[in-house]
Amino acid sequence: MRPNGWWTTAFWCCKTMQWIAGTGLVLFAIIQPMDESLKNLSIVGELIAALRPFSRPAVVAFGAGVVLFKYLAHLIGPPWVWAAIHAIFDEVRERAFKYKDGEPVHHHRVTLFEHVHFWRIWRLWLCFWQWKVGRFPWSGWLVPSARSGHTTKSCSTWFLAPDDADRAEGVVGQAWATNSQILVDKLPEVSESSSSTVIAEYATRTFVSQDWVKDRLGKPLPRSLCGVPIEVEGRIWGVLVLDSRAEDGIKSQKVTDLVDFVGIVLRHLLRRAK
Amino acid sequence: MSTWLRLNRHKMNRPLRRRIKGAEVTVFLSPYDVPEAVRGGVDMSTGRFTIQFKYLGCSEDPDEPLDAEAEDGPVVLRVGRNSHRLYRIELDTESLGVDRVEIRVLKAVDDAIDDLSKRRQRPPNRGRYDVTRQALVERGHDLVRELVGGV
Repeated sequence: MRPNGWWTTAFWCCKTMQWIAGTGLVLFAIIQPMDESLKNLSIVGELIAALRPFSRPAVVAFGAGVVLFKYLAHLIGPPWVWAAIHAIFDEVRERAFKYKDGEPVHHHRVTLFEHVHFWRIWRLWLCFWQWKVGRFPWSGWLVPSARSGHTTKSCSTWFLAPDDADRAEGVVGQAWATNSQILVDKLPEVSESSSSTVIAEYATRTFVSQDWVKDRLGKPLPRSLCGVPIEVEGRIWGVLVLDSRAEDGIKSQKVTDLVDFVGIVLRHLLRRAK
Repeated sequence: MSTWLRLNRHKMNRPLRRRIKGAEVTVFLSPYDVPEAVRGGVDMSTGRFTIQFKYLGCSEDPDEPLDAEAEDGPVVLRVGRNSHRLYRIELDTESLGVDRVEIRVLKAVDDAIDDLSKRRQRPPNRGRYDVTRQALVERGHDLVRELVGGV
């Protein structure tokens, strides 16, 4: 998930380093053509003369630094964008779900998944023993980027979304593959005591494998899901997912209205974050 | 160009029950594929009568480059390079003879969109052209009135 303190710090570190590298680049670019005779002028002249021999490699190094830190800051995205997205998701959560009296808000969630390629899922690179045929880090994945609320932020569930769209997993994967808004509700309640028939039904209706469901039997699974593709500059950037632990927790008509609003805002915000 | 004519997005994007990989789901078109408004008029830069669609979150101009389809024909379609969404329809009013037959124009546009929807797209999505057609059905006569008035 993006909008947390670590990412904000990392973004500002990158921006600071980019500024330092940019200043160094300009200074050494000025020093490089200067004459040796400057040495006689003052202490500054002596300093410049001493630095001159290193000016060529320094220009290259600082130039590379500017590019590198700019790229890293671009990958992380400006923190204000993610803070704004988070605030919008909290508002959507208030309006898009049917709440019962006393029900905790984290039973209903709004999550933004980003479609990424190999290098972004560093955990999958490290856990190379989990690689399988067609499930490599470079296969194409939908990974969570932002989520409503202040809990369940350490989500590490990602879904396969490869070029061969038939193999896309989850409701999120189907929304991405078909480029359509998909709503699945009235899913069966799955627990550790559930029969294999119930597990199979849940897996089929949510487009995941039975093993995927079995691995999560100890945790509460959503009983209604809605996936909406999100576009930036005409390309599918990712998928917005609304999930609820209630079997009819999503107000489908309300979602259609909200999606119009969120779709416009995300399109503009994510363009800034790109 | 005329002012934008608003379209009823909810009416055009009705939920459908579909079976995907053996599972029953409710499907809506992507909110980005349903046009918000349409307008028509003579484009001063090309001199052609142009029907323009406005989509969710886009200003007057689309936020992606446009590619032309069937550029030599009387009906030129301009689609988004990334999304393949139909943004503009340009009509050669002289060869279509619009001052005589309104129906002929709408039929020519419909055929051009039909050709476009049959072509292979990525990502696959035929519904987006059906909804564009629906927009033309909804506002077609207003646009043709503009066309006949403008020629």
